[in-house]
Amino acid sequence: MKSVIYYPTLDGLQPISFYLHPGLWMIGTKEITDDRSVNNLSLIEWILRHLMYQGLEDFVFLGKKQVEQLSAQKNLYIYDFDVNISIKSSDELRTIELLNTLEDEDTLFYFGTVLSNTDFSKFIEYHQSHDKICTILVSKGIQYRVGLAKIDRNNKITAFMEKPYDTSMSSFTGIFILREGWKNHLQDFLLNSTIAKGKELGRSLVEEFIKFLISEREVKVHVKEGIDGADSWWINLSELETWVKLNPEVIIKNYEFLTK
Amino acid sequence: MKFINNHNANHSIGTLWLDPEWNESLHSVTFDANYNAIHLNSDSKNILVNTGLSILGSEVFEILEKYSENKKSIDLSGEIYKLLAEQEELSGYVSPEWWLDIGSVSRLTSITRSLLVRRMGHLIEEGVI
Repeated sequence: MKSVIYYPTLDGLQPISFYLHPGLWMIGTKEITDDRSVNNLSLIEWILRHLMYQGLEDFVFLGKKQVEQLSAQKNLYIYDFDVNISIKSSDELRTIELLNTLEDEDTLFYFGTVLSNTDFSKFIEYHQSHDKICTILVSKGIQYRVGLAKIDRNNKITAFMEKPYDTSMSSFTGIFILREGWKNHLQDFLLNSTIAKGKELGRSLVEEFIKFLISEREVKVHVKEGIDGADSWWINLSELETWVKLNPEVIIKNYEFLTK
Repeated sequence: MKFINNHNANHSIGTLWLDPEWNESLHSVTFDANYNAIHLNSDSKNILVNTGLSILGSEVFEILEKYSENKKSIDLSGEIYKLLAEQEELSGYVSPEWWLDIGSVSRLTSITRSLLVRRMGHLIEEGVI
């Protein structure tokens, strides 16, 4: 199955992302050397190593022209792996329109700032077990970034929760699979949705396309599981604040399966 | 002024400004028992978000004096608001008026002068700022 690693415009990583594509930002705990151990890898390399570990070997990097920086550096991360990597880039087309330039085949779409220990074999297996056009990968639980309050009818606050973690909800990771035939749906969306003609903001237009597929009852949900029975873990690095607080040890620990 | 008037009228020690129309996406998903997706991003409704603006009456210091006897520091939102809420001394001022939290780099870099002028221009015209 082809894997498309997509990078919409990420306001949350500006201004640094103006100069260096986020896929090249390094994560690790050691001095940067030529050592190829599973440490000090760029964001894109963590993603590629993970997907390659799960048997995927045909990749497309998709985004604005700047995504070509990943191509220029690819000798770093394909190193001695036998994989195909191609680029779909444009400053004129929005991400959703770039999707329309891809071939109509079964494809895994991977939001390029997400790291996780997801078992993609199970995700793909689940997708192949039904006949809907789309399967989205979701995670149990949502972390609010604001304080929430509950009030009674007299506006007295009865409960106050500072940045609660809500386990009753699930969140979309930005990762999904589309089945061959998906381009007909995408073209419908681009032609008929007024939202599709609007401004792109982060991954929102891709999500609008998935909402469109949901309205057509064409979307199944897969609740992600960790590889080898590990607790499910993921992080979205699309905000500078998340990078500032990032503990590389957590990344390395959750990718231990790569060393096996 | 509306916020201050509301505080003066509600007889609580503290009043929090709450926004009922928070629109930051949590990318939430709802699905049925057969794992068919039902909604995406329908999360920002029916929640009241703390805007970070509050008014606390001076009575709060008496409460804090007792509460903080053996503490080096007290967290405003994590402890004081909860304490006041438990004592039924915290009210909400629910208003959807425009506000912007620029406490993160991404929010700061995404604001534009035209947005601020559009939203706050009347304050400049009136000589408030």
